Amino acid sequence: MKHHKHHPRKLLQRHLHNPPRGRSGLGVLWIIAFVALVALSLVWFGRSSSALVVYCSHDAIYSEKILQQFEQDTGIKVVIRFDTESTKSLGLTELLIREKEHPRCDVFWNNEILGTLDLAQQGLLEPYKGSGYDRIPDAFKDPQGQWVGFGARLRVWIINTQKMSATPEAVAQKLALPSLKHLTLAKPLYGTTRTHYTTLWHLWGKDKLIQWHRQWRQRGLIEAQSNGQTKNLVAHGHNDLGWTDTDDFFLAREAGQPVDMLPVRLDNNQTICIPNTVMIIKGTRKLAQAQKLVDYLTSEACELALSRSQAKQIPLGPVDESQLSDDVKQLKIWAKDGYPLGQLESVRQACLDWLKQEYLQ
Amino acid sequence: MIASPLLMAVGMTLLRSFVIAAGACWLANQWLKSHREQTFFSKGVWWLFLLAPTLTPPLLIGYAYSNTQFSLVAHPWCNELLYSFLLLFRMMPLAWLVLFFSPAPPLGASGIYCQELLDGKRGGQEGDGNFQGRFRGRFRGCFRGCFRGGGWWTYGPGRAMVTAMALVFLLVFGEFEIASRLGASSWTVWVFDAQVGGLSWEATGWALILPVSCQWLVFGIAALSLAPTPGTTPGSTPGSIYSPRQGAIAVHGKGGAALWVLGKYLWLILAAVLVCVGPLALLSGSMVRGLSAVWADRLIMQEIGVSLLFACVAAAVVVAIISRFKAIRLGRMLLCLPGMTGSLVVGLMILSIFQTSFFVFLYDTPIPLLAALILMVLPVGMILRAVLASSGSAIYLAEQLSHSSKPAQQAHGRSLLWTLVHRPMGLIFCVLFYLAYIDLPASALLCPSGMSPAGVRLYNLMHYGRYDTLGAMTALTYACPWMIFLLVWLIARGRKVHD
Repeated sequence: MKHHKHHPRKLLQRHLHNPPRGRSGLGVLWIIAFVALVALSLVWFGRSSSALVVYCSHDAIYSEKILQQFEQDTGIKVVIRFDTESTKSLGLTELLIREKEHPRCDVFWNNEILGTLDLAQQGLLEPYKGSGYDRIPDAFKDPQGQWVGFGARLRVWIINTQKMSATPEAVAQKLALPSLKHLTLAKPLYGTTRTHYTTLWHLWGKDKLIQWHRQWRQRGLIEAQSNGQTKNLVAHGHNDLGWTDTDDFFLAREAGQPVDMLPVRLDNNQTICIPNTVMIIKGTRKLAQAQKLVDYLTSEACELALSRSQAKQIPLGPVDESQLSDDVKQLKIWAKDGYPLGQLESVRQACLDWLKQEYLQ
Repeated sequence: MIASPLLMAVGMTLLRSFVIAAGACWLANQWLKSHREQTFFSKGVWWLFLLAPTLTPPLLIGYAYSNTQFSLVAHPWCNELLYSFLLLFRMMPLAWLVLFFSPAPPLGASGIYCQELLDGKRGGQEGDGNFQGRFRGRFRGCFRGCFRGGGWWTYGPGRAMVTAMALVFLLVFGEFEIASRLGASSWTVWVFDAQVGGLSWEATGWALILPVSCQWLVFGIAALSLAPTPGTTPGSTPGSIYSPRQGAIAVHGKGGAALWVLGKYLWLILAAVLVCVGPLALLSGSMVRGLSAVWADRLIMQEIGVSLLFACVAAAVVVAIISRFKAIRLGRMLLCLPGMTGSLVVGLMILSIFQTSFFVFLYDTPIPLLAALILMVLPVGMILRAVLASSGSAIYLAEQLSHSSKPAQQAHGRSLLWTLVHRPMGLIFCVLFYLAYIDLPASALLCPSGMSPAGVRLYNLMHYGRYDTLGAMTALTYACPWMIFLLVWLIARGRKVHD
């Protein structure tokens, strides 16, 4: 007998080889997807196209308020993209370099200087010398006006006061011990520890730095993942002392942990004072607004606001000293001895190449 | 040339992944043998305890244990053990789920028994004679059972074991967030570190060849184990590989069964406390106090909304894609390959694609992140689809029943359709939605300006320690998808009851 195409067996066979689709609830899913997509598009279109796109690697907890205040004061809408700790090595500097052909960022607020020097060297920055530029000392700004520094932090020894006293002599004693298992510092591949290493490279030269670094590692130095971890290791008493930044130290002290600090002094007695830097990205279509933001961030009011934050950042330009806390006044004195970090450009890449070789190859 | 620290990192990750995958599957298998529907806990609590470790975002786990790592900083092997156990606790339930929900293998118990008899006979024949001969015969028999007696692996319960092992292996191998927080040796952390100061896509690609090859190889094995058996249609054998009512006593004997059951509950509690409750407790102390501040924070609400939308679209698209595939085939496997490399690599890959002049007009739109999320969750969706696929004939019969002229039969048919089709797809959607929601590296790299997902900001803020507002923000962010799931579940349950 000739099988009809609607014969039950044929139907079943066809069904088994070509299973049903429309009845699997997909209709509902498509509706959900469509609604979500429309909502996503609305949010995207809803962003003001005139908004200034700001990349900000300074801690969101402090910088967000300042940028919101800028919005309120000037009426210029700001869209912020923060750096995250998770992407510290894929951070905003690297992103800006990747985006160099098609930039979407207008202003970059960087919380350190090495990345800024890299961007300046690659010609990605738009020079601007505004009102803020004039009030910042020469050591903390680019002569061409490609970037300008403000609100700095210092590299410091963080010391657990239950383990040792916070004096230069006690630190020297600890460092003279054969084992350095009580000492911690962050892996110098990124962040301000890299700036620290680059400074040492600039001061000492390659050979001395490499010898010193290897010796410390051989003596059992503990390498943490970040300055934050370094702070925690010392604050919790796992280590006696370590290198970190002032903002991390103040977090530990505010949390009531038994810590004290000393500035890290180089061989020539200079300190390492790492400023925030702000710059306009070349190709911005919102130059006037970008310039206003640069002026705002490098103003006295902004520096004072940063000094009042929990991070207690150091004003670099002249400010009303009566508004500074005792902590910041002390930091400001130490910062005057700061090493000229603008000179690090010449050794920045060489030091990074060596560090990558040391840790990754 | 592959740098030696990378080689070591890949080797370490391989070893860890294999040990955890094998351990998780062995444990899951033992659990299944002693699994009963009636447990000491109620059914809901049982599932809650089982799934809690797996569903806890790795961000929270890494954050919670980053401080513990400090005390182990001078003992890297203890740190490695901690990391491995955290992963084992997280992954074991996944292996259990795969084994539990896997359809019965084409080769049934009687078939395997016959094969074993056959193998035993051969072994006995080969083993006739002296001790050495007997030993050799047994060894060969065993070898044949494991490697050549392909029946168990290819047509028997081994299929599901292979799938479960592969899934756990892939997830452990590509893990990044906890490894980076705990400072564990892993190739993902190496790739992350290598990006400092910029690393060309070419160099990254070269570095990725070895680990990605490992992932693809394992994925290929999993795909083969999920491929339809000749002469059968996918999922044509209904039921699980193990009967839930099988009971422990038959397998372990009375004493052994009691021990296993006790061990199982201890494990459940330990895993839930260490991986889920502990990290949540760290944040929950300040949660209530910070809730009012969060409520007034417009930004976090907006970011949670953005995260939900991205996750929803990505999950729906993937479900739509996988619903067209009944089984994993070569062409479909190729679609999964990019996603196997993990969020970080997918993020970098998509970033470089959307930076080319051809695609740059889409760069600052939601599309790159959506593409990354889709690619990332697609392999999981494919595997879940293959594991949870119901029989075409069963669906057909259920549909026929639902079109019956008798209302009672119609209702029964609809109920069957819900069980066979809608519920598995809904489950897959929820899993994919959640995975996309908690993604971090790709989201951080690809989110358009002003549309940052919530997790990115949380991770940033976690750098500054624990404080009230952060606790509340974290709780709210991770509670949101669960509230949605609960709502959907209640609706679905109501509908089922109504039907």
